[in-house]
Amino acid sequence: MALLGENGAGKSTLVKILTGLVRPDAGTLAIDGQPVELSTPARSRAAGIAVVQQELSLVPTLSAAENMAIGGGHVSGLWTRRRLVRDARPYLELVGLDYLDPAMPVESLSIAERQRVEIARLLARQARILILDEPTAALADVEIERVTQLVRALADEGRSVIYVTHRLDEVFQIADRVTVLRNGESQPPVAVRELTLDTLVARILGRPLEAMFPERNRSDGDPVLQVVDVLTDGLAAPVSLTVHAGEILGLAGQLGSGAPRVLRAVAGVQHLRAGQVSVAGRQVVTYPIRRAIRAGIAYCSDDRKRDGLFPIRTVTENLTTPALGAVAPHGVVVRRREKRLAQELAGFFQLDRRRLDHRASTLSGGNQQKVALGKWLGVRPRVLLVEEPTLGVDVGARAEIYAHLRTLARDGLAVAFASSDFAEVLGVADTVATFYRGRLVRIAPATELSAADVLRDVTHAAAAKAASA
Amino acid sequence: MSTDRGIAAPPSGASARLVDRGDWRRFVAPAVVVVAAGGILLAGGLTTAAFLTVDNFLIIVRAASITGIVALGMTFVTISGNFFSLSVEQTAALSSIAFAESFAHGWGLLAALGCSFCAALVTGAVQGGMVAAGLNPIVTTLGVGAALYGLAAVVTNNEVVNFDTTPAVTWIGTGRPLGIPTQSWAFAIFTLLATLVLLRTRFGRETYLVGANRNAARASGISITRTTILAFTLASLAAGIAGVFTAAQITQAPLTQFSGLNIDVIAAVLVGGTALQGGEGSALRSALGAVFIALLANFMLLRDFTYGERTLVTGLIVVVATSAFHLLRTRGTR
Amino acid sequence: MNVNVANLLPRVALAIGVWVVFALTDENYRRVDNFFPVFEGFALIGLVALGLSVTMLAGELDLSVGSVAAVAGIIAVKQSGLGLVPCVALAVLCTAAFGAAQGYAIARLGINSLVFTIGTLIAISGLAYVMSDEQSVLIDLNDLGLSDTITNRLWIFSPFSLTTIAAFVLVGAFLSVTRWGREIYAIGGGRNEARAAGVATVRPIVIAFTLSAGLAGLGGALASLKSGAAQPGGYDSVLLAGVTAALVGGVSLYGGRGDVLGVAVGVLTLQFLLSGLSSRGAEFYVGSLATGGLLLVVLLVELIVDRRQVLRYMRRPAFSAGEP
Repeated sequence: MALLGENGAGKSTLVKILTGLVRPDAGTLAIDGQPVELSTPARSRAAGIAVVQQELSLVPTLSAAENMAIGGGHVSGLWTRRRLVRDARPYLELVGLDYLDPAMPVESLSIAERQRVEIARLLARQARILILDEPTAALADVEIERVTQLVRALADEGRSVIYVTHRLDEVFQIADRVTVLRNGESQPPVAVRELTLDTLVARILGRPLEAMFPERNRSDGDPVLQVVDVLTDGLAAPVSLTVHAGEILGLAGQLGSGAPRVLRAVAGVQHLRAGQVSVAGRQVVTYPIRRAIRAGIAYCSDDRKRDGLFPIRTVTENLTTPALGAVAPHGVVVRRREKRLAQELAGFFQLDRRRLDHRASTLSGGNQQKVALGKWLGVRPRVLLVEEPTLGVDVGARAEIYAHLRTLARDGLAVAFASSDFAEVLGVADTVATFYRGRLVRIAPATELSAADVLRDVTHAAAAKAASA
Repeated sequence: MSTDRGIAAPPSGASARLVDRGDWRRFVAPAVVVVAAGGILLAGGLTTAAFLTVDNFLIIVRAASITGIVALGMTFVTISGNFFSLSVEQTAALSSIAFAESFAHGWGLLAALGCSFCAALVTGAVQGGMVAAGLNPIVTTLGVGAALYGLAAVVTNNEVVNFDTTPAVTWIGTGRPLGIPTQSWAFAIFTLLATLVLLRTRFGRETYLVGANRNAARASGISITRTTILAFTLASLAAGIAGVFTAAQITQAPLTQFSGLNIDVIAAVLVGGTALQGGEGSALRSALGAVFIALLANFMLLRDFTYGERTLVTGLIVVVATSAFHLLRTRGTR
Repeated sequence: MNVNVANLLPRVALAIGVWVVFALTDENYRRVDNFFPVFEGFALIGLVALGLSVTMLAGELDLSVGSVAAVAGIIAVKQSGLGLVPCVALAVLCTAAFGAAQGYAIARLGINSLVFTIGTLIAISGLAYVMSDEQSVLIDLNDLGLSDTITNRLWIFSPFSLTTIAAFVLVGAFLSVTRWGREIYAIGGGRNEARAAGVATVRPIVIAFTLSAGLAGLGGALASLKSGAAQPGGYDSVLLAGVTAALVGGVSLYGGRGDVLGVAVGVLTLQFLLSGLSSRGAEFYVGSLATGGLLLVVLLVELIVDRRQVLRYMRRPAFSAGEP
């Protein structure tokens, strides 16, 4: 069963309910016709449900055999290495890892291999209901083949598989039925053979694009950011693009598409393996981060909790961090300047000024995102790069963030953002670059593309079309 | 809705709430310490004759000052997210030996001060560099501390270094401007200075930020290396100052003079309420922690508690205080 | 036993190297007889290092081992009238119980073990002084025979060092062939991943701290009985020695890596070094310099050799309770 839906549609919440992490407010769950209570992860496991998340849960220092044994409660007696390896082999064989030495620590395996070890663990726990969350997102083409074949084989053996994905070609390849979630509601499942690509796309799109996107402006400015033939981790082919002053470039792509990688390489977060980056005509070196900042490049990651925010510090401190050089010119913080900058930024981003002295953790997700974004304006960048600008942000704040991005562009900044929400990309950006599996698919003005076009590009629907024919 | 601790986003209705619940918690730690200290003063004053006397007060204050000065330096290390430095007592010993040896060789006051501070600065910077390079701070300082102790013993042949005092040295060690010991003046002034540095300088701000979220600090262009080295250097410098004061006071530099200082200083910082994980805390808290512990120790001494009993009580207070602060920090975020 | 040979060989080489350095220039050192004091030193530090390394494998650190050893020594000496095995058993039971309570508190509170054990280090040290009335507790003259029993020389070993070797074997077996042992490695190698995989986090932590306190207690009890006196502050240096031995032996501070064989090699290396120095007539404080130096050298070498591990530590998320 393929589970489809955009970000925020409710897929991860549903998975959390099934794995015992979240309690449903209403409704019932039944397995084999019997109602079940999945109130804790342990109960969920006991019911035969197992999940492979995007964040793997393998302990790196333990071997594959050990990882498969821990936590399940299904291995009793002595845990000698020989025994664990012997127990693990059949399941590793099932997932095609028979060439592996089960006693090697998992950290020496590739991501694809680790994924399959996780699946092997599910099998070892005799899971009857497998939930796979974007299993092929981080995999290369040939590995994807193996995983999809494996999943199909597992289902053929009588297991139930819930396959959460955005990749329509895989859906047509291996899924029996499809359930589409939209805005927290599920549509009745449909058999895949009754679907064509177009009808499936229509089901996913469903709702009309909300009128939350600001007016575009003409962006005829000079090129500010030029990226030529860059290669970096996560990209399968060189990428070139240009962002002009006053222009918003939207990079559309799902997990594993490579879209955010381009931004990260330009921002100095990861190494550039090849190619050049120029800002305002001058070629710049962007690694490490401090160099990129000095070159006028501001970058906001997709995980503000990890590296975008200082939750226990005040909003003012958060907002003024990149600009400490200006706010504390001789090493001493000039309170007046700090206050002024914070208020200015708060005003621009419509943050409640009364909250400037509160800890950043007390803000709502939307306001936190504004802080994570807004702090960069203090250094007056030429380029603003953002990954997933509205991740974890409520609908109301989204419109504000879009408006801010537009205003920034109008003020002469070159803005580029990567997002897995293709509607957002289409609605906000002047120019859209679509990515799939590490390759740039196409660049075109947003006005020349339809939502279906973008969706097809990022889900490689060309292959899907072939599969559904 | 995220289920993570610490920065889970409250539902949008919360934007109407203007009170930062984390705010009042910021004052709990020092408030508790002050109240507890007040409690001791009260209990002491009511039950023990010699407690609330000027002389006794001066004893307490002087005892608190040495630990307090070093605790102030340690606070920088803790706030920057590097836990503790387990080499401060050895650094103090090394500094005091450098001070004494300089005089023993006939050099003047300035040279002696230069020597001791140099020793402290260098060892601090080196440790900071090692930690910035990626070594674990606890184990690094543990090792450096042991090495410093051995080094100091080798240099002095395990003999106490005596020297002849000069009027200047006597004043530094035992002077009492306005009736208050020089060490206490230094303690007060350094508390003020440390507070200013932490709250008002770029370096201070960066120290907080590096401790609060190392990755975000790096992403914002802050130099983790510089901040770490400076933090450890300050801690060592504070230890060096303590070493000089003590050497001046007793005109000798016994190798084991500062035995137990590591633990005392850490206890002071913890009891004051600064979080181990870093990113928050203050110089004032550590100063209050040092004063509280000295107060408690003095009270117990006057009540004829044995060394063992005093140590036991202090240890229990540290356990209870740190557990309580930890619970406060993690349970009640919303 | 799951032994990582590639990791062990350089450490064995280091141990042999240290021995050779001293053996080349010191005739006394070369004699087989010299291994006896080496193993006597190994006996005490080995037990402490063994317990400490279990907590390190779990990703924690028990700073209170020195104080616990002192308390155990006092209990054993005071109760020496009960006989050798009973008084030692009593001491070990007390310390193990304390360790279990400590581990439980740390696990349930979710507090960093560094912070907690600093407090208990102080408190238990105070307890030692209280129990001993601030002075050395001398063994009852009638029971002096106990000391002899412990120091009874069997070639290069003694019952004390043999006990330690037995402890290594038992703990090693526990860690490598039981589920609970694997759980300790799991929570140390990746606390969040282990939790996500369904591993209970309270039990392994309790076990780790019970072992560290119990083994330190065993060491303290035997060492005190052997010398005939228990000093309340006599074991302050075992923490440094234990941590150094564990790190030299390949136990990672970040958790999840290491094995008891490596720890044994680490303790031996340290003992070779210390006995070599004392055989040369060096003062005791040179040992401190050497231990600290050895620790730093090993840390630096590991840093250079395995930047990967360090980078992962440095990129750790801002909010993770319990990691040292």
